[in-house]
Amino acid sequence: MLIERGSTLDKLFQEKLQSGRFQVIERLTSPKSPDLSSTLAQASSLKGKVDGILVTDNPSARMGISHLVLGEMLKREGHDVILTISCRDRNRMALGSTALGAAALSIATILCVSGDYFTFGDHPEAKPVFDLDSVQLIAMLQEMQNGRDAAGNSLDASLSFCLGAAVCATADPLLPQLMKARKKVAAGAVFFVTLPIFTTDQLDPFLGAVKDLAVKIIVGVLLPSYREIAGYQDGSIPGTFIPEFLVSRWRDEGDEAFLTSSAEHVRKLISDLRASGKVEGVCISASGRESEVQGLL
Amino acid sequence: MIVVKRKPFTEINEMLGNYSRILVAGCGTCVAVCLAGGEKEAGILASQLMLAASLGKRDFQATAATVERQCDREFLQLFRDRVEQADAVISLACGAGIQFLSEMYPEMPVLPGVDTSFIGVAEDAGEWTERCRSCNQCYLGITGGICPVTMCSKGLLNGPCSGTVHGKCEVDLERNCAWSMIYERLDRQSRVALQESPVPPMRHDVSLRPGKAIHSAYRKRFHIG
Repeated sequence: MLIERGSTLDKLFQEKLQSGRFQVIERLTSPKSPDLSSTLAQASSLKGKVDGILVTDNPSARMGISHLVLGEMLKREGHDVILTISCRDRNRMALGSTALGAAALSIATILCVSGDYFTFGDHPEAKPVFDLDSVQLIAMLQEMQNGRDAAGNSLDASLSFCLGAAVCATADPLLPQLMKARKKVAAGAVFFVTLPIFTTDQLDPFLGAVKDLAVKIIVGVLLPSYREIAGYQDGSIPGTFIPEFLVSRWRDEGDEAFLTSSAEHVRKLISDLRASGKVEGVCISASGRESEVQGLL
Repeated sequence: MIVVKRKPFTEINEMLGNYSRILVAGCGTCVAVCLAGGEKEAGILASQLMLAASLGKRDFQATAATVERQCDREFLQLFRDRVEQADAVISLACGAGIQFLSEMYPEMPVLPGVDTSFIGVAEDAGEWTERCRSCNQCYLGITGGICPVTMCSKGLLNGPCSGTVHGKCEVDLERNCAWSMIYERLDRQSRVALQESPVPPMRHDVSLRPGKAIHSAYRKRFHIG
């Protein structure tokens, strides 16, 4: 018997993206603990104010609780969940199992990423998997919607996913990144979530280059910690490039003034992105400053 | 060529334990070129071991002998007399040579004197870099002659990750991003179109380990086909 999984939420998120209404997503990091109370409390404080929660998958190669478990707990509390699946820690069989698990939990919106390398995280000696890359993961999930797994075996269910991909809009060089972005769309991605940007100017060349692609764009924004700014250099936060003028200004302000100044900067950035009409939404990351997210909206 | 690096002397010396008649077995091919396991290096290691033993006033004998290749039985046979006079052998060949030597003389403890690093090329005098992971399904035809399996830290087959830093790799900012190089090379050759479509996942069933290869002309000899 075929069972339909995920189709309701799939339609919901795709419809949300198509609606023309600016989407606000908060990115939450899986805690390094089975105690999810503070993460769920944070999500709860934003209920009705954000359109979805992006659940990460051992982000920055730091081991945390299973993204499926956090996703399920958030769903139980009525949040729309976008589940990140990373290629770093699982081979194609485990990725397929994860996707089936997500579908069983009616989590249908999947953000497919390659994953930050282990040396950035807390398990630098671990074996990198990368059996698939993000393009191949998208293609595999697309094929699962057609009823076949990565090896071509039939699935006992009909799945429906809304597939997204991460892109670095500020990549240097940009052309190879665009080449891969096009492959992601060809493989089945219908939305992009960019890595954090800090000015709308940073985004323009990328937007110009992808304007013909049938893909919705959610722009990443980051409320950084002072520690990240103090130690910042290009490459210190994977895929995140903070303009020099901002780094200098924030460093000069000192940690207390920085908190106000950076929050105001990000608030205005979100407002500008919303007003621009060029993108479908934002995805807010807050490095330990999650309690301030509400004030940005 | 296969690139190795010699193990630290203290590690080698500790591995020897109470063995007192040591043959240091050099290999005259790859490891000689990378200055870690050829005739000269085998002689130096034997001398170092003798010196260390003399400081400990220990009855100890280390000699060195080198053959052209330790990955070939024909050459390994040449060690027989020397092996019979030893109670342990330190091989300075790559991991393949060390195993083949051990296989030929199974009663003899054969210890590694080097760590095998990679299949690579000589960049300059004294500098070697990796180029091939021997994946058994070469992609170089669609990647401008630059291997993404080897040269990309994540082995990504479809393009760069999001972590490229001004054309450098997020894992090591001293290294070029493989996909920045691939794109530039393909662009220079007007072949970027080769990367328009997604490349399917690597097939690991065609590279089962340990690998085995039989030349087509020898199939009958090995009763294949």
